[in-house]
Amino acid sequence: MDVLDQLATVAVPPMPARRTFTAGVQRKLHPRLLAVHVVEFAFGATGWALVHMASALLAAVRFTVVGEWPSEKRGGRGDAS
Amino acid sequence: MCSFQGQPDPSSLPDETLAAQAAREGADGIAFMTLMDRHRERVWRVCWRLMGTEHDAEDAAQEVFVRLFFERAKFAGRSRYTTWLHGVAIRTCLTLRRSRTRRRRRESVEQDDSGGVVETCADAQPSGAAAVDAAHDVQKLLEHLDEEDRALVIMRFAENHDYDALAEMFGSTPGALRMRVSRIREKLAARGGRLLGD
Repeated sequence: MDVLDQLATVAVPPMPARRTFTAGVQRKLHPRLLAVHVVEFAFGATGWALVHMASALLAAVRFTVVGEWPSEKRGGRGDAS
Repeated sequence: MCSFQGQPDPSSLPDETLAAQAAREGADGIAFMTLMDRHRERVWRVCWRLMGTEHDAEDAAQEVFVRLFFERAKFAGRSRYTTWLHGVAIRTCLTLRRSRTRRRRRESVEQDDSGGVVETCADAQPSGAAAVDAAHDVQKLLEHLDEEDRALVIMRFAENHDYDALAEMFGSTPGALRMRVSRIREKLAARGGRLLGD
């Protein structure tokens, strides 16, 4: 018999109870899952905030230069008067 | 066999189908839980063989399932699910063993400074192997190998995987692994003469 084949004869001890094992997996999984979600949310929220902040800043610059706020309706300003 | 809502019973589905389903599910999805139940024993066996102690094996096996969950979308179905799962288990155990070895080295340096004695990796006797002396000698011998070589030998000889499956697990070719195993044999023979002959 090959000396390495003896490895297959080593008895493996029984694994821990299903409940304990699953609880252990969940204990490890949940904090990491939470961290992933927080990071994803932070990146998503940062992108969203930057886009909105940038459009507001651009509008302020435009107001300074041109003197009017950007409007989606053509000729919207002064129509009421 | 059907469960409610006309869905097939997950336990009757093949691994690959469940893996595809698990990739679309959340943390408590039925497909992933079914896969976990189905492969718990297998993962435990591999982890115990690679880690050497029950405590480390339990920690590693739990870590394997955490990794399987985060990497569940990466299973492309090119190989069998069990082969892919073994690959993840091996990589996880190797990472944990390396960090454990580093930690023990650090501790041993600290204990040496304070004059204490620390158990090394090679001295750590797997509790389940105590009854089989010869096998224990071989296991002890394997501790002198490089971590990946040790894992390869265990997966080949203790778990009885063929070289095609091993090639998938270790990201190599069957021919290269055959060569590697034969080099490991030579290395073990050189060292084993000394260790097993005592």
